[in-house]
Amino acid sequence: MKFALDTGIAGLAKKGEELCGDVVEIKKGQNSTVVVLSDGLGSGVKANILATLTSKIAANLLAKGVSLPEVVHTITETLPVCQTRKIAYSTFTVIQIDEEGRFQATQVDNPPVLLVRKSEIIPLTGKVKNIAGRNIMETSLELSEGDIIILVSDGVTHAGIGALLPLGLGIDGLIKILGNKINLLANAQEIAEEILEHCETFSALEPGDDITVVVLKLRKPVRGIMLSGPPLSEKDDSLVVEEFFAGERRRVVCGGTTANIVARERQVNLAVDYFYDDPLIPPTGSLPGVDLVTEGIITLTKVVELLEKGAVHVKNKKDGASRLLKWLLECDEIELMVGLRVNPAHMKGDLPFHLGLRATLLQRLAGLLSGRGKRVHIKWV
Amino acid sequence: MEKIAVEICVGTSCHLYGALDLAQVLEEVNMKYPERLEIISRTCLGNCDKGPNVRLAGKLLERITPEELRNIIIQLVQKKEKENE
Repeated sequence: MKFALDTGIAGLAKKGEELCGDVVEIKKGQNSTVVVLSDGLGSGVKANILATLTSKIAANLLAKGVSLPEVVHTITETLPVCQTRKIAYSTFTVIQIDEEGRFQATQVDNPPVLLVRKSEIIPLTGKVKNIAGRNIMETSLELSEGDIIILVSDGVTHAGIGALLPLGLGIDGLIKILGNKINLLANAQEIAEEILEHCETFSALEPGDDITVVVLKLRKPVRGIMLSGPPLSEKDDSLVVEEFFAGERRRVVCGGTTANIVARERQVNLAVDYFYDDPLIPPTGSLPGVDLVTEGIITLTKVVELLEKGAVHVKNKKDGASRLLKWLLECDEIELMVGLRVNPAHMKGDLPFHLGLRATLLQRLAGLLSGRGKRVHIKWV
Repeated sequence: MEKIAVEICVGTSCHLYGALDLAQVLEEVNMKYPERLEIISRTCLGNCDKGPNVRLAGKLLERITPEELRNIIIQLVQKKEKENE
């Protein structure tokens, strides 16, 4: 793997809507990643259904090698027709990036894709074709390390209409913000959240449209390993800890008992905070050589919940779940080392739920992270 | 004056049993009687099914409520102060 894709997604539903009408789908193939951002007509449930169908169809068919005209045709034919407007419509952008940095973009009625290369911010243009009655722009280029690709829905370019910017932010406004206000050296998630925050401000915190930002950053692959749960057999403790510390990679320990085992085996001190940044999430700790130590099941459940919601906001949060999620999103290849020993006390009846759910939870987490374009491997110990 | 060691468990079970409320009590007592307590967080005190657990000056207090903890610690702090007078 020459390059990895650091992916950041941030989004906000139109004021008063529960569901966002923009949907992002990321599909990681053998050597390349397909990213689709689709914006369904209108807002709320209807828009969400249109956008979900569009992004799923586009991502799956393209990943299977179906040609673009056929994909556009299939989408137009499949989308349910809106009862009020009597049309079925969604806009979308499809991006394909392989591990060598070859990039292809297909834009159908969405705001232009932006390329940030060093200090230059360029809206991508290309050949325009007419397929099934729609104008489709195709661009291909070679990316290099550090390049950033930004996809936005029209909620971003229209941000501020009816509030602080009568004509909306526009693509030029977005470029200006990117050049002057946003720290482009931050990771993809932070950049996405920062762009979203600006749009929210321009809309006076009441967005008139669904807003979605996708940031893709090309970088050297970051490898990470998470150890969660004590090994099934106690005599494997030292072997597992040794393996956990082997190689050049980032590390995180998830689980109090697990952290105690690591501290004991490495003969180091485990420091734990007792300050709660979020009353629902137990405090974090620290171990030498480990990026983060968190509690186990409750924190993991929260991480899964946040990932299932789609767009995440973890930039300024300090609780264990947000920090763990941030750590996971920063990695490209993640090994989940999952211990299968169950704490007998967790199985007793008077706790609000059974805690012997680690294996199921970690499998769900692995699935969600793969959906974010990460290469995930689970090792049961 | 020698500090009183208070170990509070913030592990999964104790968290679910209400360790947060105990942590707030400790913070409150610590503000009221500065430099008297040495608060240490633990991920497990080995008594998960009888949480929340606090080990106060070496003695394990199980299923302790915030009110009980506040009273016990304040009494202990005051007793130590008297001993030092």
